[in-house]
Amino acid sequence: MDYFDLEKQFNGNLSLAFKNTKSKFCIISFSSDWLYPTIENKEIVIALNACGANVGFVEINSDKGHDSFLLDVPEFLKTLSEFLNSIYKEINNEKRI
Amino acid sequence: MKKEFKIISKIIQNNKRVLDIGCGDGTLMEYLKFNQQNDVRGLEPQKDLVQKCIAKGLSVIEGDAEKELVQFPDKSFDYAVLSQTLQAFLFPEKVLKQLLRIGKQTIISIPNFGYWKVRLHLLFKGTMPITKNLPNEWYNTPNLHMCTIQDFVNFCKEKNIKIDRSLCLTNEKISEITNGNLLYKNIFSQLGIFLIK
Repeated sequence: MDYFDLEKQFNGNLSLAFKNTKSKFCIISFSSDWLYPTIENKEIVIALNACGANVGFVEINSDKGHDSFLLDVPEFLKTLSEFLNSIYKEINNEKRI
Repeated sequence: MKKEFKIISKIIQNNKRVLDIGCGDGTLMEYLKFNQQNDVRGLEPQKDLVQKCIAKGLSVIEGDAEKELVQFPDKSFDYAVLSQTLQAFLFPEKVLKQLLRIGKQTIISIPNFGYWKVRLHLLFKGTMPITKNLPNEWYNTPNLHMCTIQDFVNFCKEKNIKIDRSLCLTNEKISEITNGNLLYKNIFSQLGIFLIK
């Protein structure tokens, strides 16, 4: 991860990487993740907000470190599945219209 | 949904971009999004409430308004909404400045410390007022900077903030605040709702 720098391609402005995006973002970080720490996730959130993207963010408390996303962390699984459910519902509603 | 939120959603109407600061469990956001087709974002410091919002399909960011508002560009929302939270900030003036910068207009509601029950409580009991709207003791209240409707109006005048509309709420009854009835409304209203810019 230390060699990948998305910002670099955009002259240090991460926001430009997401310009004109129509996606809906949900950023989830884990309190004990040292590889993708919350503070770096927040940088992504800040960049997305700066270009007016649709973004939600929450930090999940977990002591399982970076692998939290692979393990049984109920709070995380609940948040993720409910987020996906809400998207699924929205897409179905749009189709009906 | 509580009356205050009904009033706020009526001011906002349809198809607007709205930022709800301290959005709680997302009740107001939900209504604005699904009933009035607004494009809404929220900011909320409490994790469990943020999770509730995300589960409802609302785009809410976990964070503290005193630190996080700087990231939003100027005039990036039609309305910035702050419901009964201004008094809980460490630096309310700074937060308000940010709101006025981010929103083309700002809707702000404040629990009125000038309400007659609050005044009588302090006058006769001699202890810090506890009412339905202000249920905490002085030592555990999140409210650091209580103000009255009159205080807020004075503040806006002093800082050259334009008040486009001012409403007040008492026992679910809503009425307009004017220059003529301000003194009276400051005694008999539980809540003030202001549209400012």
